[in-house]
Amino acid sequence: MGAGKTTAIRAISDIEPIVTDVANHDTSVAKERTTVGLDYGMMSLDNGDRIRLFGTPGQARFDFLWQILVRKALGLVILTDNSRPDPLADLAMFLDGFALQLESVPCVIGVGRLDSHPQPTLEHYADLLEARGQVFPLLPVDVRRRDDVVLLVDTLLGQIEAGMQLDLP
Amino acid sequence: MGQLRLGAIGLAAKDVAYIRALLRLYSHTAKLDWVFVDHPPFAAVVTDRAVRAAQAVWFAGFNGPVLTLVEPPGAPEADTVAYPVHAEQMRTWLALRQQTLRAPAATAPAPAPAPAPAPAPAPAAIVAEPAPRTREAAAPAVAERRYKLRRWPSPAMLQNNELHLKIATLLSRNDLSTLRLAALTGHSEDACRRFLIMLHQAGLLTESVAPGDTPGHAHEPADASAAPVRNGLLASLRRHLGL
Repeated sequence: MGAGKTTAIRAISDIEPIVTDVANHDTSVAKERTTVGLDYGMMSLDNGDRIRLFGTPGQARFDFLWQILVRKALGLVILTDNSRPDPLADLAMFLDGFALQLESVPCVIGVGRLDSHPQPTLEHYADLLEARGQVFPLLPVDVRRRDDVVLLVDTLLGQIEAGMQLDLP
Repeated sequence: MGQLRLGAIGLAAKDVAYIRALLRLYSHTAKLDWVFVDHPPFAAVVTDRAVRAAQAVWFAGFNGPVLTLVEPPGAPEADTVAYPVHAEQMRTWLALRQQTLRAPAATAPAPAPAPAPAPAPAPAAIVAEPAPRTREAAAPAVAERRYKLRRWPSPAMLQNNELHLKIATLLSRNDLSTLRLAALTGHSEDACRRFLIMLHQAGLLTESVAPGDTPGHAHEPADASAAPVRNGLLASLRRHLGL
């Protein structure tokens, strides 16, 4: 919670994101509202295709939603909030939740609030992934900056392309 | 085609005996072609969570599937089985992994032995790779070194360099030779090798040996495989984002 999913979608969506949030009663996180359903955005491309953007709640009790949404996803962006008490545990929770899908679905990880909360560092995140035998792009990100969100997506597209190239005979 | 070799890392003797007995039973089934072995090379290994954490470096260097035994109730993670190990769960996992391990071997001239776990090799291993012309003259099954990322490089190492990012992306998903990297990125093998040396010196690569790419791949220009991608959905998406 608080990683910036809604803000990230708003940065690149062609429509005002549809947000399903309620007042936040979790006093451990200083935000007024939190996503409890889905955030939805969309990009309409010049070739007629539409890319749907979904932001899922970060709490583990919504992991059933994760499984539904990731089924036909082009790729997955995991956003973490480095100001949280244990952001590495947050990442591990997401990696566990998407474990099956991450064997084939491209993924990039964006770490937010590194500027104000430099610990853990990106190297600590890389340590976690290495111990799990996983390698995903790790990028620092400020979702309030559209360029950062675009770089995340561009990196994800590179992951998708790499998978397509390697699948070619 | 030889049997697939399953090893156990750090398991109790009783668990090893149990798994060895299961594989002996399965060996009578035509569909499962595994043998339990005490020494590498391994095509796959079985371990438990504590050993996997304690020997993370070894496992990071191992390219094959790893089945992790966990205490019950056990989270529904991929490649994990909760104690006590049920025969059917083991059988299902072995069948699935046999499928994935055998798929590339079906088209290769000969099956490649599973690489023995080892620390990252010396940088000279990358520099000393033969030039493409030498490899083209060799038989298609000549072994060559392939590289895979153990962890994502730091932003300082990537330097916002498009080739570095492409190589890191490709190596995060598969183990590839410098020849194949050159074909996929559209850059020279030397340029790819320079970044591989940086990655290697930073301890970010694992290395394996496999049958060489066929001569056709050596001439495959990156554009031939990337053209459909560039003209398709991803290209539209990039244009939409102003990339």
